[in-house]
Amino acid sequence: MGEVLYLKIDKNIQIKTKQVALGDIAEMNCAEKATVNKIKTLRLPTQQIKGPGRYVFSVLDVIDVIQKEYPSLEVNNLGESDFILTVEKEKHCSDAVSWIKTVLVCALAFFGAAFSIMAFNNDVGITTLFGQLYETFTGETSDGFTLLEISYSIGVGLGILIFFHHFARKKNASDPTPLEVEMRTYEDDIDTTMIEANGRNMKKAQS
Amino acid sequence: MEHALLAVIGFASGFIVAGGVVALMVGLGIITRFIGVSHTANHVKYYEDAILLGGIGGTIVTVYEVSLPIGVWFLVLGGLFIGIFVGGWIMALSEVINVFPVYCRRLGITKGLSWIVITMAVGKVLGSLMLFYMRWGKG
Repeated sequence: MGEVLYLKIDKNIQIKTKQVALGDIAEMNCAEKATVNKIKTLRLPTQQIKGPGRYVFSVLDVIDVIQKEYPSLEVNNLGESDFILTVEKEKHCSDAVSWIKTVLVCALAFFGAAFSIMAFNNDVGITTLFGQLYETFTGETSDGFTLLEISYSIGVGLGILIFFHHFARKKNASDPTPLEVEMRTYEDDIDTTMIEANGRNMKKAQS
Repeated sequence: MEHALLAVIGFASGFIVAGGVVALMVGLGIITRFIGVSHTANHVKYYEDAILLGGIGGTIVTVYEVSLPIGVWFLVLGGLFIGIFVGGWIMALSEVINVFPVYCRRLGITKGLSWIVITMAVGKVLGSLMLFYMRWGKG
């Protein structure tokens, strides 16, 4: 009766050094606990890793390593068939540096937002439209800077905050904000692109 | 005969423009996002009615230029809601082209993502006020 090892690897795994044990990158489950513990200490061959960056591996590499040690073990892969090892830089940016960067992007966002709303308002001719609305609803001629314009401007800011679900975070901390969701989706897309580009290169190398 | 033709043309253009406006609104996901924020997806039929009424109302006001002296406070409330909608609209547009994830990743932003959103909101408010106050808008 052959044993079955269930293997689950995430799409993107962060590691710090070139020494990668299978236990660091994969979740494993097997009826024989001793087997799992032994396999978790096995090393993944990582010659292709040269310094920090992203490297694509196939789950077949992992299965090779396992079957060298346990030829009769049946491996059942439940996770990704290709995965990325992200080798992090040794020294991390200090908190101060990363806050400074955030402040810079805040300045970027501030001036960019101010400019783009002006361009947008001009583009759709909002001044004319507000003048017409003002005349329709009050019967007087608008002087171009009325309560309508002020309340609209405040509303734009509120709309952005509501759109990004800014007030809900305090209610439910486990709920990710739309910006975080978008960040995640974008990173997932990058991983998929890298894996598929890698597969294409391998096919080219073989033919 | 000419009137019949005009009626057909008017009807057809209205048909297509309405489709375009609603498609843009749905495609950008502004309404859905606002519904999601307020957790009221079970009343989505009312929102459809509201969009319909708003569309008809806006058309009547701009095409017929009727006079409805309701008062400036109605305008203040309307302006606020217009602003909130436009704010969401702008963000939805910039979301389509992934501005934020790209910048955050390129620059390695890890801290204070929410401050970026807040400064942006403040920037929009001040920028918009400035445009109106300085009478820079055309028209």
